[in-house]
Amino acid sequence: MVELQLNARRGSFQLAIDCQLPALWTVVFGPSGAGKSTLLRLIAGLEIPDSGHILVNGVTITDTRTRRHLRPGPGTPQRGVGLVAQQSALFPHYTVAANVAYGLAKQPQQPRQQQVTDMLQLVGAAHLAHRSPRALSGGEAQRVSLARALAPKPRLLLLDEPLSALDADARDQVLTRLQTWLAEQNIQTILVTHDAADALATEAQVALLEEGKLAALGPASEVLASERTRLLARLQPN
Amino acid sequence: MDWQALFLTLKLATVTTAILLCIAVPLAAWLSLTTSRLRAPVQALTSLPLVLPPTVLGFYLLVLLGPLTGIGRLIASLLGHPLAFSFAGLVVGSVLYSLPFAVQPIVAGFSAIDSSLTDAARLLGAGSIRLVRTLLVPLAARSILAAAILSFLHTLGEFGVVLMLGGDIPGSTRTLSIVLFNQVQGFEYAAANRTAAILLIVCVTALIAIYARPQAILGAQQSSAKVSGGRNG
Repeated sequence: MVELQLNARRGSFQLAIDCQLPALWTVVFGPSGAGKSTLLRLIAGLEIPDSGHILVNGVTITDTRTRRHLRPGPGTPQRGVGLVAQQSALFPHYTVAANVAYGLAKQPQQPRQQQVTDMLQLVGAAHLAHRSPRALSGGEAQRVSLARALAPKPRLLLLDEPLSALDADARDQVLTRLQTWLAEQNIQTILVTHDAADALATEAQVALLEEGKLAALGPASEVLASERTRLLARLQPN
Repeated sequence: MDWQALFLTLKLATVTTAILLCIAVPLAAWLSLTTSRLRAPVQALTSLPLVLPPTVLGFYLLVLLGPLTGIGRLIASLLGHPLAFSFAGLVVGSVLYSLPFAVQPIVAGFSAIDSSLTDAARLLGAGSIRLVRTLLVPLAARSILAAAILSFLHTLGEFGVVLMLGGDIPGSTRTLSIVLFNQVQGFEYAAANRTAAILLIVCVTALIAIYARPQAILGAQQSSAKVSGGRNG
């Protein structure tokens, strides 16, 4: 369960969110500029809100009143929030395997190597382990970036259009495997997308974000149906 | 040829560069990563020797490290002699004088690294020290090398601070630039020509090394990073 009560101003843009996300898999859907990426950066701890708090499974990871702001990272005193952004951001001077192992520094070598292998297999990138990130295609880099974020098994996983460089078939394949694994590990996930097809593809809870505010929250079929009706109504002449 | 002065000059430049790198890398990392309000004043202080006349810096250091101040007396009691007019005093002056030449290229190198990489490292639990060790230093290796060479060369040719703080003590504070000054004052132009030529050759050779082989230096750095990456994996 993620509980959010956030206010953050970035220039002329104001993000104001107050909601609870109880589902294991939530899709945040909205047009470009709605504040989706800012919301994820605030939850991940890369930015601090002007006011408000964030709780994950009852643990306060940010609270501006008490100035509590757990630093990013997968460890216990840290936030335990993983983020996969559109930009794969792989470390260019490390191999693919070393990239995936980066968040496992505190683990002994044997289980760490096993975890790296498992995560690369999960995203269909086991054959890339010894390659340099410079030699990867956009889709391969996104798979590796996903494996790197999954490896430390975060309590909450944030996905910001993480497979946009993959073709539709490959994306569906990875998403299906990913959802199964996340459900097995009981890792709550928030997926951001501006593609309604992505939002409808999963029978997830959908949060509709518009101009920095939560416009609707509920099952995909309901939220997206009402969104469709609303958009059609806008097109009707007065 | 004053070999003693040449050796002393190279020793001063080497010691100063080593100390500067130890100070400049963490300082540049802090300047690149911090959002503190202290960033601007610290950056201004670091850059001050760029615009301050060397004689002014030398004069203030001479006063600060002399017997008239508490710091000067404390250092004198610890070392058994005052810091001014000693090799150690020259090192202190050189480190302060060359600080911007070490810090600024490294800050530029660190700042040029894509912030999505530092964000990713933080999300994977990297604290500041690991971030600097595993990401900033390997990716800004060329900037650090340039900073080291610039600091070394800048210290080689230092004159104002050396003269004010160290005077002209053979074997202790007499560097090549002081020797050159003395030779010109004594109308020994042939000797001055040889001394100036040595400084010129060292500087040009080092600069050619920077500009001619940057890829080779970078390639070596990347190979070593891959090895450490392999260990991580």
